[in-house]
Amino acid sequence: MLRIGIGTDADTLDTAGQTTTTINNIVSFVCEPLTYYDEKGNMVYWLAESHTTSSDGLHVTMKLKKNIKFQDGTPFNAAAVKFTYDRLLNPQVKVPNRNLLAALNTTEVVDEYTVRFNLKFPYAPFIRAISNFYIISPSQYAVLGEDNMARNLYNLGTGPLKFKEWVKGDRMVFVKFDEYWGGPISVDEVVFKVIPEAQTREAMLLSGDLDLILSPPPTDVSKLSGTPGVKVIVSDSTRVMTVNLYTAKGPFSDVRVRQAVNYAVDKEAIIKNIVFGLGTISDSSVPPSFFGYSHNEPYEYNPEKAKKLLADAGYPDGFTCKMMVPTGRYLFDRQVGEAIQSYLGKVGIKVELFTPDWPTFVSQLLGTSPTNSTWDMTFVGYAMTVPDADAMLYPTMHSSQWAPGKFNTMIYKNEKVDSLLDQARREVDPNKRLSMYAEAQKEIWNDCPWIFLYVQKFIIAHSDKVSGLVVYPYETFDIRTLKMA
Amino acid sequence: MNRVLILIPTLLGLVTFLFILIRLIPGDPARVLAGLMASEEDVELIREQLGLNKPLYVQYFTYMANLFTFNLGVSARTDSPVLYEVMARLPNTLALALSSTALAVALGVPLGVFAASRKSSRLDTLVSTFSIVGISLPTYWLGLIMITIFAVELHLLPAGGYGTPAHFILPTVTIALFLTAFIVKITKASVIDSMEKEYVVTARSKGLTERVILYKHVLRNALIPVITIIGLQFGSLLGGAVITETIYAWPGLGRLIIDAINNRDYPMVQGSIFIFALLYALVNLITDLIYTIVDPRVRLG
Repeated sequence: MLRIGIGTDADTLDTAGQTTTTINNIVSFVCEPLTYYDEKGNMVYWLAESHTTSSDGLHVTMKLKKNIKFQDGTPFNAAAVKFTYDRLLNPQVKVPNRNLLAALNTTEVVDEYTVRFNLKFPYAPFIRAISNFYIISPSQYAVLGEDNMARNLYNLGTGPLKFKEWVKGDRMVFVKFDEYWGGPISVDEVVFKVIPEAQTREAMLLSGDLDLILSPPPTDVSKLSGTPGVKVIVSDSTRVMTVNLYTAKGPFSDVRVRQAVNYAVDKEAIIKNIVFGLGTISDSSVPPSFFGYSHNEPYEYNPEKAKKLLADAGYPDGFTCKMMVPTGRYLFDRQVGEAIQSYLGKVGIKVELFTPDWPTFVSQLLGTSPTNSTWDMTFVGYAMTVPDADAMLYPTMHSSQWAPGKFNTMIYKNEKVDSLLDQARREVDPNKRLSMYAEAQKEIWNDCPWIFLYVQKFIIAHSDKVSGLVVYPYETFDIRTLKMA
Repeated sequence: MNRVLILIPTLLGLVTFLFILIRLIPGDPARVLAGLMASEEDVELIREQLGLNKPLYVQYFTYMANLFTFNLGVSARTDSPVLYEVMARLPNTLALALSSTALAVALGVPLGVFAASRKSSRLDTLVSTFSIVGISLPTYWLGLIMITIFAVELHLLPAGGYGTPAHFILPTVTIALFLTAFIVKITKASVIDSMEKEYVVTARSKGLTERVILYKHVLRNALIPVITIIGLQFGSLLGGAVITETIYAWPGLGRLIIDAINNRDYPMVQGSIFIFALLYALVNLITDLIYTIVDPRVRLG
């Protein structure tokens, strides 16, 4: 039996209703997607075996792998794929990630193992977006019923784990699916125990009550790495930590001020001293594991240059501004905010911090408008679910996506960036897309709508009895090749 | 009977107060549920499904009408009935409340009486010190220390979770420590206070020994304020000891309530706190009943 410790319980097990990476990860062991990715972030086929896109970009035809059975014995085929995607588009079903399928119009069965997605507009990232959606057995769905989708995954998928039970607030239990198409896993049972306190998770790993834990206390990572019998994996993730700068009015409407604050903050020192080394300095608005990422030169720590830029912009004595920081949401969020406040203070910018709780933070962030904002700067982290530059840049940088209600909370507009992003999401040739995104990232880098901080790291610790664990740079892991001594 | 009847308007008032209070806190439940990156359209759909677009008075009256048929609604977060979610956790909280209260009473009352009868001796000082320490120790720190010692170093007890009797030990002791210290203080003060009453002087003058006076006459009277405290403490433990539950990963009511508030899960906040209030009122009623047994001068009106 493999015992894994996680920090929060699921709210729903519905394959369509996932909003947290961890639970999504767990559900993916029961029901599987058509495409997935490998450790380097490259797309791989999973339940599909190949695809072609029409030259106008509007039709994606996928050939499915044959001889795969659902856990209820029925065959995995195009009808099941159509059923799954029709349900995802059904407005009666709660699908928080439905916007990832905004391009999808209809799903068509071409023959038993061929399915065609007809799109409303050409959307190159579509083939990666579908890695978030898991195929369910239509006949098992009929047995369980829509109301049970949130709490019961029995025999619903094609994955290596069969759902056994969910004791709310305590644990989720799965058993191995002997006829898994990829070969049965080596453990008979997998239990995910809900242990909210990171220190307790660590204690349970050390006492032998757990075999693997997610997110141990970051303060203990180096101690754990040196503990015999324990292995620690520190991996890149896609969580981009930034400080959004409100550009619609006020001091940050001047690009020189925005560049100044990028010189004024010592990011390496923050990573080293505040976040215990658990971050990689950002060199782009796009994280390195995303398709379309390209490198830029980080703004070095240079308070003198910052002061000069501020003076050029008309602020030789600095100015006062407000910074919003959530608490308990990101690694050391409050402390990072305080560090930034201190660095900016040294170049004459007086920062007033306010730290609302998460729901309040979200409503203030998304309530920002081109004429009004409660903040000049806000610390925030983005973890986009589709590992594609479009998913990162379009919602946050395109001028059609200005808040309120959308994610360009900086009210940033750059016509060149807009045009590049528009073209690149329709472009079918991956190489052309790469060069468009490279140019867009360069523009954004010079414009500094953010203080570019770092990409957070993701930590898993496990007993040395566990081997064969695969960790992806998306805060996810795979147990299909796992072995226990 | 009066006491039972008064409950009804009290609880109705409580629910109304909760209804208003949770909606005053900023934050959109539909957005929290959908996640930061969901589109505004999807959030709006969820808002519709949660009934949040209806006028406030409609939401209120629908909720109150359902309440009279014991329908506490459905959690916005999990789509699961509120009553079901609470009942899934209440037994765990109840069990912990019972075990820790029982331990605290079993230790605290005798120690308190003992300290009162040995007033100002070295043993008394020892017990008083223990009292102060027990009340002052932060639960969070205590819990983690005990886990480190008993689970990680000595491998004697599980570090967290729930399932076997062994799992009860650390959480029970963690809660009981504070409770014991509290009960010791109250018991000691109450016994000392009672020992100075007139009837005790009379009893002494009649020639009765201290021992007989204490155990046969004084204790019953001295215990009345202690029973109040025990009842109140037990009642509040039914709402769950949030910190203890978090540290020990105990799937209890406290965590459920706190998570509901953090998630702006209106039906769950209203429903779970309502049930907690109901239980608390029940415990107070029972405590009052116990009075009549202990003190014949008190009669229920």
